[in-house]
Amino acid sequence: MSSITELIRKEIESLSTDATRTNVGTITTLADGVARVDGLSKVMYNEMIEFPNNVLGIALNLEEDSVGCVLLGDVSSLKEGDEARTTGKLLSVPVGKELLGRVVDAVGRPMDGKGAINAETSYPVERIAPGIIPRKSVDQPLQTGIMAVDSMVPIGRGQRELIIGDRSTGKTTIAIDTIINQAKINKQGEASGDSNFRPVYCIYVAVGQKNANVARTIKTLEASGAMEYVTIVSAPAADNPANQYLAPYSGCAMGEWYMENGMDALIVYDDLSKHAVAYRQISLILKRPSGREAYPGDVFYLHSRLLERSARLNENSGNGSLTALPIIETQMGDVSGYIPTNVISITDGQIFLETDLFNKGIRPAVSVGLSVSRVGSAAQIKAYKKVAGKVKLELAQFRELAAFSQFESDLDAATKASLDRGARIVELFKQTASNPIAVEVQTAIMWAMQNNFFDSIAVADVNRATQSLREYMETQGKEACELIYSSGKLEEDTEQKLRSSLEDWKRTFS
Amino acid sequence: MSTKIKALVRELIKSSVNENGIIETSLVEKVLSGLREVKPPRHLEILKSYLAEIRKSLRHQLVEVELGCQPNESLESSIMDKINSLSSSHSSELQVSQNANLIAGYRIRVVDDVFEDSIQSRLSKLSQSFTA
Repeated sequence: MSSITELIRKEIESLSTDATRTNVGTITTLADGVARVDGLSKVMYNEMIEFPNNVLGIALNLEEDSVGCVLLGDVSSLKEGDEARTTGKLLSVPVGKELLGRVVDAVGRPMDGKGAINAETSYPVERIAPGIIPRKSVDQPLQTGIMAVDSMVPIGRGQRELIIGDRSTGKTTIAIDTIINQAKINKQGEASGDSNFRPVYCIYVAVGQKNANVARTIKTLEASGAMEYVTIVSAPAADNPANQYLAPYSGCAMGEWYMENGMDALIVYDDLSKHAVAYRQISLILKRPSGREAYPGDVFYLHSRLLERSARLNENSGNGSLTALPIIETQMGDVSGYIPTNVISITDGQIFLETDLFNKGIRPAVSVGLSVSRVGSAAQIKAYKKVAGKVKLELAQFRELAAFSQFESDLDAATKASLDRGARIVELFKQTASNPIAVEVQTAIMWAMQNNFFDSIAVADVNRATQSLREYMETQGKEACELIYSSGKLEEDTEQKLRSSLEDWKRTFS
Repeated sequence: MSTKIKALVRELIKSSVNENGIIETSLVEKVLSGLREVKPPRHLEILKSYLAEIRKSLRHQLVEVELGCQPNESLESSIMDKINSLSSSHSSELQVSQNANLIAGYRIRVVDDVFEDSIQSRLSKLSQSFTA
């Protein structure tokens, strides 16, 4: 009891009792989550504005005679004539490890009913991206656990890789699987006691999604034990456009904390198409001039300033990284749309998912021709680089030949062999959701494929064989896998061990 | 609002203020009667813009003082002296009222700046420090 009174007494003593000076204005119009305020002559761009009933807003339009503010929170309590005051602060969100395992809204308030977040630090939502000097080339892999991605479009720590495709083609699944794989690697690394191990913390930003979808994602992450490494920032479809506009920036600020403190983080923006739509809605209400598809002129800057904040910092700047996986939804597979082309040009590559492949049962439905990683093999371990070097070319050749072979009745032996190999690779890459494969096991499987271990297996059985080989390598073939994991290379003795393990497996596989 | 209307309204405002920069009712009446006679195109739009600008100008020359206690003449004059010594313009009009919500202290609004030292503001600061 005495400690409580002491606490209050201290608070009163430390309270400044000087006269305050604030800059105020009056709401003149209020519509669709945007308030136009008369006054506020000293307001700054992006400054937080305080409205009655603890409603906050952000000054986005500074005009000659009024200020346009987007409102965050319950706007139903506000009315014309209400007073608005400047705060002198930029919108900030809590950051730090206290947010791991939590679901928060666009301004970092908890939404999961697990109590208050006692974060010690907060970062402003809008920050300038790291410049050229503190950056470093991307050279450390970020394993997704998805064979088709890790082999053909490898992602590095600090890279921005776009996941793009039509609705229901598995875009979110790739992102969630990547998060699950990070958690798996983190647990393995922490258990190993390796002091040099660098865990990857994840942030999943859900913009404009159905609450049911967000709940499903949380359930998937919890079921796979990944939630302890994840923070979810949710601005669902039912939320006002201001929150949907802010959520990716808030998530990015949370990720930047890891990067700036020498840690690695991964952020998923699901999805930036809806983010652009929310921004368009705000801009139209603010009466900003509209351009192509009614988007405002600065819609490119909207995404470029967000994605530029993902970086790999050099040793002098703490050696941290923030990897971004933005998601874009296309319409009828059209990658030449306004927002898709914008984000394609900002990112360091894209994973394009095709509806046709998805419907044929080829999942993940990665399009070989349209997917690319500009970082390339620099983001692969040496062993994996050795076995996966040619696979993209082989698969691309297969897709081309497969299209032509439909018209040919008589094929030469080389074409037949190429088709045969391609069909096997396609089967090999088929992978179920929430089932990431460790890099050393992937290397072993790819090595088996390159060394013709799958050639005697019927194409229809290749997927089953891959599953069987995976189980074998995780149990009996562990020794070879551990060698790959520890050295990161495929040396002669490792290959010998791999060969003998694969021969053993081949004898048991039926 | 078109630039032409903006320019016209600016001229109308200039004609509505006296040499001290204060808006005078007689001058405003003169402007309105002039407009009635000329009947310019988009008359209504001009009148609406003029009204908005007049309101803004009136707000600029008004100093609203809210006190927690009952206002008296000596207090008012001392406040006015202080405001005139602070502000560069000498065209302020003082409006003093009592606001019981302040409990004690004052709240002065000059255009869109609010100077406040009241029990209410101190209590709200205290409550914010506990809930932040």
